[in-house]
Amino acid sequence: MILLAVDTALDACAAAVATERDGTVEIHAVRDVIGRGHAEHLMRVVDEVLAYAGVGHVDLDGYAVSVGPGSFTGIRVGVAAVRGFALASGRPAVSVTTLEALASEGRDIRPERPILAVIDARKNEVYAQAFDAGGRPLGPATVASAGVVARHGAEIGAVLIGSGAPLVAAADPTLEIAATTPFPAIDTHALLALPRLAAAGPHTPRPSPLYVRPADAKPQGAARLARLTPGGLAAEVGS
Amino acid sequence: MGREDGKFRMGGAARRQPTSGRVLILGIETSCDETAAAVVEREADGRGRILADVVHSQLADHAPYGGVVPEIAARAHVEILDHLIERAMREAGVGFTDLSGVAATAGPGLIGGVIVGLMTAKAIADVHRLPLIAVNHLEGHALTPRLTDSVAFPYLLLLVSGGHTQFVAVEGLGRYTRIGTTIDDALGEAFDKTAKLLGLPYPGGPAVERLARDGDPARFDLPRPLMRRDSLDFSFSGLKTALRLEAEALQPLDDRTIADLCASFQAAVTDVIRFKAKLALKRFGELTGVAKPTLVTAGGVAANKAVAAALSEAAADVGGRVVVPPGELCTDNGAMIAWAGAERLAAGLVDGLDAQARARWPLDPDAAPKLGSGQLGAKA
Repeated sequence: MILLAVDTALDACAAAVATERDGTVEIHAVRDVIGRGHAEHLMRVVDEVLAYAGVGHVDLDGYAVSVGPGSFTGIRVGVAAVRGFALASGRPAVSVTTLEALASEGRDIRPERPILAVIDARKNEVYAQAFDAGGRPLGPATVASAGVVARHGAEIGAVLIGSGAPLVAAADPTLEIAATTPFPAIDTHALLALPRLAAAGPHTPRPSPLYVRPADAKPQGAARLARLTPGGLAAEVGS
Repeated sequence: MGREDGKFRMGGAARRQPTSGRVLILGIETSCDETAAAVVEREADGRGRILADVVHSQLADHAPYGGVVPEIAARAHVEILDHLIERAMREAGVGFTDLSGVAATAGPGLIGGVIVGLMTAKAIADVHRLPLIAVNHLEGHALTPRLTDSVAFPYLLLLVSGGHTQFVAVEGLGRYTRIGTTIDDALGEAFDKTAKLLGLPYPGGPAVERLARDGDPARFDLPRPLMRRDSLDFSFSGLKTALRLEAEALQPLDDRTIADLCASFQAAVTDVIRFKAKLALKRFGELTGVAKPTLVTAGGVAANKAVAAALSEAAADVGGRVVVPPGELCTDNGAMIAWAGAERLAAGLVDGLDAQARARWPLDPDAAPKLGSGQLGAKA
């Protein structure tokens, strides 16, 4: 099985080709840390990694993409590209989240402990998700204040990993930090994706962004001017 | 034609051999609140044909907010676009390997949505080694009459939408001269803001037009801004303020007053449009030496019947004619992007897969920016 994995959710613009043959996995990866400009840069990274691995789109069994949480625009760059690849090639595509990839890296550092993956979400909040020592999620990905996340981490005795770890540890200095990794490696994404792609079929839904945070928008208030017949005219025009 | 032999194509826009044969283009549009995909064919003689043209309007997603919310639009585009492309390809009865190229709006517009369409186009182009054409959304509008009515260069374009109000002299592919534009609100924006003020549902333009039919256009003497012989520019923010002051003075508003306000607003707008169109057609005639000029309209406001009538009167006065593409091709659509892509590809104009999404991208790069234009400045 050969897959192409793409990650543009955080500061990296990365792609990897993972080849699984007779139980061994070979990974070719290209990673640029660019912060911004993923939309302009991604196709260069993709074509570089395909050339590096010596394969073309036609050789791939499918695709994987990091769906977030992270930068809204960054996530959409990767998801739109991978959904486009899947559409154009007729191959399936699968999702990996930034939080589960971080947790997987945390497990390599502290294998016996629950892991709390935390990404700085700005506005004094972190994206967070807890995993047990076996890597199973203990709940959905959330966004919350460092204090709330720290309390949860202490309750389950978790080790922290990710860019949000210093924020959370500042709220509860007893919490242990495994690493302050700014973004998970593209290799990690690719490894998590391989079994998912093996289980995917032609009807597997294509990846969707995992924003966690809602769009920042408020419904329109009432009309600014007083009306004699509130709603009547609007209802008539709208009908 | 169309297959690329090179390993990878970067390095921005490029010029290649013009194409002599037929081209088949997939076009993608995601710059505002419509997700759209289309397949268009351009014959060697320049005639065009739409094989499929599908649009998903996000109107309902934005209605509770009284306007388009950029982040909500971008989120919707990424969930819908690939399905829409699949549908367009199926309706056209073609596969990706039949295409000569992939075109997508690269701006101007809401950047989050533009990125979704452009990345999808890049991915399809990458898989099938097809040329990418990064299209200026406004060029899509500008070239539409060549697709629908085989209009020959040169002609005068009036683009009137929620984002733009401008006269553009279209003299050839890539030869666009803006000869007038709004210095503040776009006309569609003025309609929508008026509707919002009066408590009418979103989108406001059609609501104002419908109420104006039953109203008295002479009840309120609203200003006709910039109605002077020495300017082809528009201004609508003063008109909007004048309407608000009249409305505030008469609170609470009854239905009759609201209809009269709508009618008076629309009368002011059509007076300005008629006057400016006549002036612009004369200026265009002097510029190009064309005796009987063609005025082409595009944009959502072109669907307003009172505005359309005013434009016809203006053209008749100077012995010209008006071409109004079908309504669904006046508002945002994929066919116009595919067509602009076809015209550019036929002329040998293609882009690299590092093409940039642009929030602002004037059609006429030499046109001077207009001072005081809107809260974010004129988009183009």
